Amino acid sequence: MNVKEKIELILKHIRTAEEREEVEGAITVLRESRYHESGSFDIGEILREKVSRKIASIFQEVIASDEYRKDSATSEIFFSELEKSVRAMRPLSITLAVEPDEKTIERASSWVTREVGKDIYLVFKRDGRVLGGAELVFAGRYRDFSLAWRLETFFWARKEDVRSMIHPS
Amino acid sequence: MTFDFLNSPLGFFIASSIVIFILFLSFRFLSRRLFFPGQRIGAPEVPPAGGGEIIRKAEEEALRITEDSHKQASEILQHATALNDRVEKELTHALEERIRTETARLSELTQRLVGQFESSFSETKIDLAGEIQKMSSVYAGKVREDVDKILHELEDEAKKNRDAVIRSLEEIRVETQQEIASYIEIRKNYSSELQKMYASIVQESRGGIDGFLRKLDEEIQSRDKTLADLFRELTSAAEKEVAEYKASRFQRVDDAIFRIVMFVSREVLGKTLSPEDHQELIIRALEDAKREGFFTVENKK
Repeated sequence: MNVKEKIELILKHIRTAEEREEVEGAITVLRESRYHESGSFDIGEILREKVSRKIASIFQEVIASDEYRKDSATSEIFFSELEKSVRAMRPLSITLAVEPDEKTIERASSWVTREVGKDIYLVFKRDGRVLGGAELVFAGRYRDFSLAWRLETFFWARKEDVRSMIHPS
Repeated sequence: MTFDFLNSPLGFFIASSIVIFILFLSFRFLSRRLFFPGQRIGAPEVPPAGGGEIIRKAEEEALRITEDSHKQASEILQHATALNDRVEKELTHALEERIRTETARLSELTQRLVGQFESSFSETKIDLAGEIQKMSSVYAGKVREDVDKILHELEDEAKKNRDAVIRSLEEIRVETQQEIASYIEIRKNYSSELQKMYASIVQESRGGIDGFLRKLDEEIQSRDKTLADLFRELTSAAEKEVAEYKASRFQRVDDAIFRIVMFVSREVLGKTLSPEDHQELIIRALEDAKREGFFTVENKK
């Protein structure tokens, strides 16, 4: 697995803004640890207290080989590229009516990675007024696909029908 | 001498005629001053204001003057005739009295002459009585001739005076008739002028009144039209405002009901959605976004 494949693997696990921040945090922690603790570089030990278990396991899976423990130049290139790729990821803001659960996050992220691109992470926001569906903000553009908007559109499109129901002849 | 003349019948007649003539002239002067105050005799006659009333009064006054003139003329004629008769009677009486006086005087003279002749010529044998009688007859005839001559002269004089009076009266009558004709002519002129003035005034007034009424009608119609237009505009505007207000209120009520329906729908929908429903709606939102090119444009960049 070369560096690119490893980076893609890590990016693949970055679904949300929080996970992205964790990855960035992990990169920072690992870089600092590498410089201070030369010779002994236990990723699992370092990350266990700093990032989530999930992120820690990803990094352990990708950079478990000794070359990243001893060869600082190689590890620097890797972290540098990884950081660059993480920072290059584009956010997709999704406002929901409810707090997204893991299943929802996974399903949405999979769809975005598959249909839009692998360099996108989701920024979930909550607003009960949307009722359902989502309000999307991407690359500076906004679009309302919420249930509230659909409901309003539906009512306005059938306003006369609604009125005829209000004023039955 | 003057008193004797006035006491004589002829003097009385002449004096009476003069007095009547002076009275007539005074009456004429006064009548002109009365009917045409302020108008100089001979000045052009201009119809005064209120000419109709004046004409009517002038006509009545002229008729009254005519009747008075005729009456006075008749009285004068009667008086003249009576005066003539009286003069004739008094002349006859005077002549008879004079004849008697003269006869008596002649008889006395004759007796005195007879006495003188008797005393002077008593001795003669002339038939003086016959002579005297003869002379008396001759003298009486002469006297009678003189008296007749005087009577004829007096009669001629009276006749002349009577003719003069009659002529004067005739002249007065003619002049009065001329005055009356003049009055009538003036009345006609006044009447004609008044008719013209009246017609002109009536025509002008009618024209003015007609024009005024026409203008008034036009003004009223214009004002009516303006008011009707204004009323129509106001009514239309008011109706429009009422309709708009009603529509606005209905719209607001409808909107309120509409929003209530939406609100209820949202509340009901929001509370009845399951987590799976939310997932489906999120995926559907992403699919719709992709279908509308929400992501595509950015990818091309």
